[in-house]
Amino acid sequence: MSRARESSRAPGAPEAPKVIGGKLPRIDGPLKVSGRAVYTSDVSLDGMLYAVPVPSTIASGRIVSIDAAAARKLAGVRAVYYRGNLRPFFRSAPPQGFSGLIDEKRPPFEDDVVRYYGQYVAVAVAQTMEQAKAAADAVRVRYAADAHNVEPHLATEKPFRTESERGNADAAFQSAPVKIDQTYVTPTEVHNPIELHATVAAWEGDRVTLYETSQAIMNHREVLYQMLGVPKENVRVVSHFLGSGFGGKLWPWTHSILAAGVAREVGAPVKLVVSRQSMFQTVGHRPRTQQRFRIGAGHDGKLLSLHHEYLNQTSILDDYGEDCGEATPFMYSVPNVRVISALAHRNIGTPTAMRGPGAVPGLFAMESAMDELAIALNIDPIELRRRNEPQQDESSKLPFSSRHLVECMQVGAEKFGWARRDARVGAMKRDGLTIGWGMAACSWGAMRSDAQASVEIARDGTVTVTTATQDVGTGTYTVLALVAAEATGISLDKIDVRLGDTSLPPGPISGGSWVTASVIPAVSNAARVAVRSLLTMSTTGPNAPFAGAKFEDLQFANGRVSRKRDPSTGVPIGEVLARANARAAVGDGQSSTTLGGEESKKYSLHSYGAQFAEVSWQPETARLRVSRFVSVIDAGRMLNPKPARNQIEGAVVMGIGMALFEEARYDKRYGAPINSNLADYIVSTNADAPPIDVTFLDHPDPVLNEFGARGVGEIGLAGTAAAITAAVYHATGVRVRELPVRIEDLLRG
Amino acid sequence: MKSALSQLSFARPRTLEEALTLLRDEPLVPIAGATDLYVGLNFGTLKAQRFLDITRLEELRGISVTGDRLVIGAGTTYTTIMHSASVRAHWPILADAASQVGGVQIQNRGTLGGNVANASPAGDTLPVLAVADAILQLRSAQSQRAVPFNSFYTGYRQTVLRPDELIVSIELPMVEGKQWFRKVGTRAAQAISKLVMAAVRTEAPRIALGSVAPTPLRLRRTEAALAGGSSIEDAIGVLQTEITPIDDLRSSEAYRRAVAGNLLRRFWAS
Repeated sequence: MSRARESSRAPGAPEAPKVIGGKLPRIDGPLKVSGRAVYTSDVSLDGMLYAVPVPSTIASGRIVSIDAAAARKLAGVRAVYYRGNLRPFFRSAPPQGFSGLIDEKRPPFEDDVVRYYGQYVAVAVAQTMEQAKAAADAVRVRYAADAHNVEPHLATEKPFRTESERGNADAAFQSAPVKIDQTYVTPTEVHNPIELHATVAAWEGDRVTLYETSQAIMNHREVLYQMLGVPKENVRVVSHFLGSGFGGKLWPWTHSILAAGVAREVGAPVKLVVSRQSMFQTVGHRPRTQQRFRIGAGHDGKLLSLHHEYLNQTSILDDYGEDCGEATPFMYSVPNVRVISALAHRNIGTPTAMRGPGAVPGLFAMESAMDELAIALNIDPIELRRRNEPQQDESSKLPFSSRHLVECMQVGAEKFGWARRDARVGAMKRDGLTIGWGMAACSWGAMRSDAQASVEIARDGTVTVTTATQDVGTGTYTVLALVAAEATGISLDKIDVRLGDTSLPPGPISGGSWVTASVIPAVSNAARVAVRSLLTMSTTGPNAPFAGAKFEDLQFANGRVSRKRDPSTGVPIGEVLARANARAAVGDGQSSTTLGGEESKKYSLHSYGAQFAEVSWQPETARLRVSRFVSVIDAGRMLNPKPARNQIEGAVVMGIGMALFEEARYDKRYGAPINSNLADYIVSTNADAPPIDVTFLDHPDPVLNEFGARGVGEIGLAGTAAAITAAVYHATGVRVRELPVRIEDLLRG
Repeated sequence: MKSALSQLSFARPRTLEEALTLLRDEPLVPIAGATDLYVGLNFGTLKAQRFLDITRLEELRGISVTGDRLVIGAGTTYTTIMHSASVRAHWPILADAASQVGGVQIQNRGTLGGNVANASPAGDTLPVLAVADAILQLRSAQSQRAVPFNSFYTGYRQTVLRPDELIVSIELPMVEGKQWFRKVGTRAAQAISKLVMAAVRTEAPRIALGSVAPTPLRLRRTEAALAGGSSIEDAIGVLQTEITPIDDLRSSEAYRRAVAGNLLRRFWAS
């Protein structure tokens, strides 16, 4: 089996400026724009076959029979598998921390029950993709259908679960002089990364290599070895490049297990690429949420009570909870808080984390309610939030590691020109259009997880950084190269970062916006250890150039080891290593998680931001556009602002989609997501993206890591939809509490 | 059941004569840009197995001015139409409509004849052809006939085109007066219309709407009301009796009725 590893750098790629905090383009950019980056579905192996699953065409019921006779006779077909003729899969054990996670826990073909439309009931394997698809279409499945439930209104029969509580929220609400009591709804949203989910599985004896579209290769291995029933070390997971994931590629899905099982059975490598339509059914989604939000406040705007009661839909078998109340307990100063949650089971695929899970739909509710409160009180929405700025995290009673929300709002207001706002509905006009302005605050948790990394300094002066994390497309290769360059003093063009392979030192998941915060301490430590090993080799051994010197008296700079007092004594890396007869100087480093660690016992760790939106509205057609956006983010120190800015811009564009366009709608008759394609599931286009002004406050977080860096993958989406619906209200007088905004509903305003 | 593409076949004639002969002998489905056809294949709604590739037929391509008519080959792409000086000079709203179809890739492949033949009531260029009183030149191996665009559709996705005929060209008689076009979609680009309107301000105004009826609709009685001096509010009342919009995934009847009236008012005030 090939162990050839992908490099992050294209041959001949130009050297870019090396400075932390500079504007370094992604070092993997040339590979991507030239088509040389190998994505999972590009992987092609000798003798490889193609698998295409057969999706169920009912949403609830039982499989009565499967007739694959006609399918097996088609050209190129090698096999058709279903329950009974494919070696069964095991369930994996419950997760430990962030290892062993899977949302849809039932292995494919475990029983004859269908619980959602599109659930895989069989899989065809053939020599070409087309042949496999024709065979899958030719499999005849008979079902005994039961009534299904895809009802959008959410209700629960079980008691709500308490997520956070202090004081007496009900009593304080009842006696509050000013009350807001509204229900906010966010729809089912589908991640829809442009790169389709895919698996290529290749067995050699009882060892398997899985080429995966995975945001968490170590976790993928942890789950798959258990489900396949092989030793852990026999599973290798590879994911060199991702065409994004937005959380949908964090945990394994049924197609991956099927591809591995089928490849084992058929005795050849197998590629399985999930169709766009299936991606609306089988690889997770952000579940529909229904959130009743009550605020009690004084006439001075001081919050007295927050009561956040929310439900989310989940699948029949899996209890996926969308943590909508994540930010509610600590965002503002308020003595009485009650956050409760419940689930509503539906005949739909299992939900999963989607960019900013919990906080994004939760902040839509809370920040919309805050805007409604500001209007009820006739207080500027920024001033309302400023009056409720907490001195500490009032839920944990811990100080914030770094919180600059008020500054975010002040800077945003200046950039946006908020002082020129006329608060009356429909009062602001420009070029025959009505203009609306709205703002919202936001937050996202900051965390560090366990990570290991290795750094090698080779004789030719090049540095190789390795860790088994992956780059979703966000710039992980680049930021790790920057950190290694900073720690070794070796220029960026000589640094090669290798990720996306479980044979490398274990790295973290690419989720929660914590990969940067987690991996950089490991890489930076590993680099320092590698430099020290080089200095040690300079002083010890029979041919050492500085034999007998204390290595504290030596330095490593510009690729040479020299005495600190006399830089002219410099010996190049190659010579040091040659004299020591060493191939390379190596160092291992690690980071430890904040989860249950000292920092999380002492500090409340979060990023903050303020979002400002302008919409333009044409009353005759209800034509609505987001025409301007300002986002000010407090996410610690920015190591590489250019890709960080890309993250915020992309999230704002996604937030425009969340506010105005995106919703997967389930057909009541069949239980299928009816708009399961990119023509009918509407996402923002370039033409919908307004000028976006992104500012990073760049205050280092002294707690999270030595660079003071947090992550920025998710926070740009938080608060964005609430800022837009606030602007829509300002322009039209219509308060939209159920996303997405439909321009049809604005005409009556 | 969806068709595997490998089970499909197509003929690739080099000339129009050859194409029409093939079409006479076998009911092939013509393919030009395939931008609608692929969607049908993928959704399993198009059952055909045998196709006629008409992309190599020079006779279907090109834009010319012949006498008082702008003549556009049925196989001319939206991109070509958008950039044509003749179209910009004589029927600028056709260039506008072409520039709002799909994305760049679709514009590079999709053809005007395809938009007509696909017969969707939401086709972006169709209200323009309706107000132009366009003439469709249809040919078969045996015959040639000219069919007014406004008589071409007989019902939802139904046309008078016979299985052995191809649309060869679309002729737009030139017109005096200000032309007007609006497309209303959910997003700013790559949107399927909630509503699309074309109009010409001449002595006898011409008005057509898409996505408000089973076929693209020329609003003859609304036009007559305006030509006869009715107030705009009365004309909007007439418009409401001419259109039959529905609630669907993309919009609602109420919205389409309200916006159709608002667009008429906007046009008349322009």
